[in-house]
Amino acid sequence: MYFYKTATQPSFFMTIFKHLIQIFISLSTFCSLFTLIISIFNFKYFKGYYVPLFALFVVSFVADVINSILVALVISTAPVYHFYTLFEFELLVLFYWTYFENTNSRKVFMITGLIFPIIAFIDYRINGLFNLDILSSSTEALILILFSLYYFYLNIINPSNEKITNHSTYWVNAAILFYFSGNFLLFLFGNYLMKNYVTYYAILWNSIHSFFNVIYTVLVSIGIWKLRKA
Amino acid sequence: METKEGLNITILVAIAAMGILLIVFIVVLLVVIYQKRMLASQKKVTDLEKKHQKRLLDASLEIAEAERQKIANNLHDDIGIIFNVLKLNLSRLKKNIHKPETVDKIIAESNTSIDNSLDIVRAIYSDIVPPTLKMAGLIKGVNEMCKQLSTSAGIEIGFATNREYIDFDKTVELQLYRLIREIINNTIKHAKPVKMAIDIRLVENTVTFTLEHDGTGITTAKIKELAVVSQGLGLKSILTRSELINASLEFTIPSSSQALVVLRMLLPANE
Repeated sequence: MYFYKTATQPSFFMTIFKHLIQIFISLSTFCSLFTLIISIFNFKYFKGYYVPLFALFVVSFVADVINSILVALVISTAPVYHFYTLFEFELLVLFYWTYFENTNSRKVFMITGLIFPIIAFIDYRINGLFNLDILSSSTEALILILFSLYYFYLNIINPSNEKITNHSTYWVNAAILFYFSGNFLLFLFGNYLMKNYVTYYAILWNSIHSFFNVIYTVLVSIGIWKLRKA
Repeated sequence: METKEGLNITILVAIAAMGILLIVFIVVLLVVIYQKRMLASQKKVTDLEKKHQKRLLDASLEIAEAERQKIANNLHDDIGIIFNVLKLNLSRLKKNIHKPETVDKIIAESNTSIDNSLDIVRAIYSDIVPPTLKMAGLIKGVNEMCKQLSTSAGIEIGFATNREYIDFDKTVELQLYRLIREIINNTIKHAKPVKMAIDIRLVENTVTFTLEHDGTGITTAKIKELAVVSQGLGLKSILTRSELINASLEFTIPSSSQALVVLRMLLPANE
């Protein structure tokens, strides 16, 4: 009797998990819009290095709108991601390049910014426009994880006199680190999973990507809000 | 089979993502904790520094006040009394102006009083700015002081040095002189020695003052304890002056019949 019940009906935890995924998917849909609205409200507090971030929020919102239209028309969204990854990386590198203006590491940001379009092009040649851009997105994730860790490293060796949690950039970097490290495996095995286990990949994308997207949005929003007190 | 494999991979990726989430969370949290600790330790150091500076300032003011008080007492008790005597002598002179013998006596008395007051003024001046120190420098000044103290305190004080003259900054020289005087006076007062040997050496850029005596010795740890509880100004003055000129002080008891006070000070390279 008990076996019959568990085999046919989802358990309590499974139901909660499904609801949670559903909540994250719903929240994730409005993430880019939410970040954009927060940025517009706080735009007057934006310093130089926040301008590339603002541009990124605009690009994210536009990409989400295009994606929604393509999904409605039952057209693959993969080409959008090819371009989005490129823009996202360049704008985030520009953010780091502007932020670390007085350090010796600026050349590294500039070189990666210049090399990345080549990686994106190689990705396009290998995977084509209608497959996921796994090479460029996983490379992007890896580089941005390193950049955000570098930010934390610099804050450890040269601690400022103010609490780090009062720094807007701390939250933005935490957001970048959470988002790209959390999604790194999804980016890396994207095409393999999609080709062989498309249903499971959809579950993974909807749960993991949505979850980290919500975390990213919350942390970035805190970071932008902190600019008011800076 | 494919479904089971897909499920396994999905679970694996999900677990790996959660593992990464945990690691990232720990990294971000550690940065906050580390920075918080750094700020707390920096604040502690700054507070200690401020406290130390305040203590130093308080002690300096106390010493300066005590010195002013000493000068005021000398002026009031010694010079004041002499002026009162001179005033009385003038009154006596007015009354006895027609008595030449008495007048001569009063003038002789007054001359002696004026000579005494001049001696007192010289003593006060030499106490504030020792003439030997001013003219011949620290080595000669300390040597002179040893001779005077040897006579006044009845203690055998030997003096040795490897230099005839050391070119100090004048302010530092005066502070160092007063510090040495305070150390010797305190040793005579509290250690009650019979013999003392003083040695001043300049080796490379380090000036070392060593006081060896056969009285009751004391250790640096005990000195630090006393500095907290003691109300006396002598010890405070020694510690404050040594900090003001960045000198290190060491009190040791190598044997039952020997105690040492060693003061070391680094001179700037060009001196």
